[in-house]
Amino acid sequence: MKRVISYVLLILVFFLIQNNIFAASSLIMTVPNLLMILVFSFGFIRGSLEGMLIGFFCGLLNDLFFGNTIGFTALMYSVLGYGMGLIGNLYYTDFVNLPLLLCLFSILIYHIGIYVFAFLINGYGSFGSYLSNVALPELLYTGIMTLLLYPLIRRVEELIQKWESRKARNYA
Amino acid sequence: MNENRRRNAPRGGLLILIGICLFLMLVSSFSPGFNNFLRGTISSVLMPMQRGMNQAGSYLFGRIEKWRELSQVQEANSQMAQELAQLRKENAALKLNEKELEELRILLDMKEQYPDYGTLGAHIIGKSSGNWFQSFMIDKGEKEGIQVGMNVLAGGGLVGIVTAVGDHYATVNTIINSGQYVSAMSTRSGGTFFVAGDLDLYSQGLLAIQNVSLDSDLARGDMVVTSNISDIYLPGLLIGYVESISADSNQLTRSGTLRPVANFDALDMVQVILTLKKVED
Repeated sequence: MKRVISYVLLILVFFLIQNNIFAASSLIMTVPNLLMILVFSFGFIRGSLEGMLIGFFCGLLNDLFFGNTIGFTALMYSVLGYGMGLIGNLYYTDFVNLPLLLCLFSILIYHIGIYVFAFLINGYGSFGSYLSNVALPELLYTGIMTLLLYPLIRRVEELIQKWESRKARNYA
Repeated sequence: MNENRRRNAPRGGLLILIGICLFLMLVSSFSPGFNNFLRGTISSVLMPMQRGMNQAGSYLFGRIEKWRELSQVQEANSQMAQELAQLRKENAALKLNEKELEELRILLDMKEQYPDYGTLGAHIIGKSSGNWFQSFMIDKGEKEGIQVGMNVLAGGGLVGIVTAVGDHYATVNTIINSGQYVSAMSTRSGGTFFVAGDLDLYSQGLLAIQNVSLDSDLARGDMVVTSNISDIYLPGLLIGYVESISADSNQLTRSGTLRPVANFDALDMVQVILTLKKVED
C-alpha cells in the first residue's frame, strides 16, 4: 500500500513538473520527457509488472489532459515499461550507463511509434524533419535529465523500501 | 542483488493492459461524452495543483528569460534606431495615403471589415508533454462558457482552436501543429489557400502556405486572414503576413511561408472568441 501511495505521488510530481512548470517556458521549447524516465527507471529496477502499470497510468494521465485519443500514450508507455522490466531481468546494474542507453532507446522507439501512427498515417512531414526537429532534441534533453534523475529515483526507491520494511516490522 | 525485489508481470498481464488501452482508444474515438467524463473527474482533482505549479514555473522561467533578454536588448536597440529612421520616412508617406484612403472610404461607404466578436481572456496553465504536438491548456472551461470549436487568439492573431473542455479548463490545439490546415485568404487579393503547420518551419517561427493558385497575385507582406469558407474558423481573423512565396515544382500551384502575428514562442495570455462558427448542415 505504501508503495502504491509513493508511486501515485511520484507520478503526480513528475507530471506536474513536466506539464505545468515547463509550460511556463516557451511553447516551442523542447521539454525533457520526465514521465518516460520514471517509467523505464522503475521498469528496470522493479521488474516488468511495476514498469507496465506505472507506464499505463503515466500515459493515461497524459492522454486525459492532452491526447486526442485516450489510451494511445498509455499503450506505448505500458509496452515500454514492460520491455524495460524484461531487460532488467537479463542484466541488472547499479550504474547509470545502461539505464541511459535504455532511456535513449526507449525514446527513439516511442517516437518511431508516434511517427508511424500519427504522422505517417495522416501523411505529415518527412521522417528526417521529424527526427531532427522533435525526436533528437527530446533525446538530448531527456538523456541529460536521466543522468540527474536516475540516481535520485534509485534513492527514492531505497526510501520506499525502508518505509515498507518498517511497516512489516510493526506487524511482526 | 536486486533479484529478490523484482516483480515480473503475470503471464498475459501485458496483453490485458494493451486490451484496456485499445478499448479506451476505441471508446474515446467514438464517444466524446466518455472523454469528457474522464477528463472532468481527473481535472477537478489536479487543477488546483496544476495552477500552483504553473505559477512557480512562470516565476522561474521569467527570471531566466530576463537574463537572456538583457544581452539581446542592446543589439536590438541599435537595430531599432536604424529602423526608426526608416519608419519615420515611411510614416510621412503613409500619412498622405491615409488621408486619401479615408476620403475614398467615405465614398465607398465601407463597413467595418472585422465583425466584433466577444472574447474571454484566459491564462495558459499547461502544455502537452510530447514535443511533437503543440497543444496547451487554459484555465477557463465549460462553466465560464467555453465550448469545443471556439477559436483562440493571442496578440491579435489566430493561435488555435478548443478541442476539449472540462469544468474549469480547456485544451487548445494550435495551428502550428503538423496537419493543422486553416483555410485562409489575403485581404488584398481574392482566392483562398491553406495555412498549415510544418515541422521544419515552426522552429523558425513560420507557418506554411499551400495551394495558392498560380494566377493569384499573393505577394510578400500581404495580410492573411481566415477565409469565409472555413468550417471551424470564423472569417476575418488575422493569421499573419506572407514571408515568402514561390511556384511549386508542379507549376500548377504556388506555396510559401507565413509569419504568424501571434508569438508562439512566448504565449501566456490568450483570448477565446465566444462565437462559434455555424455551419449549415
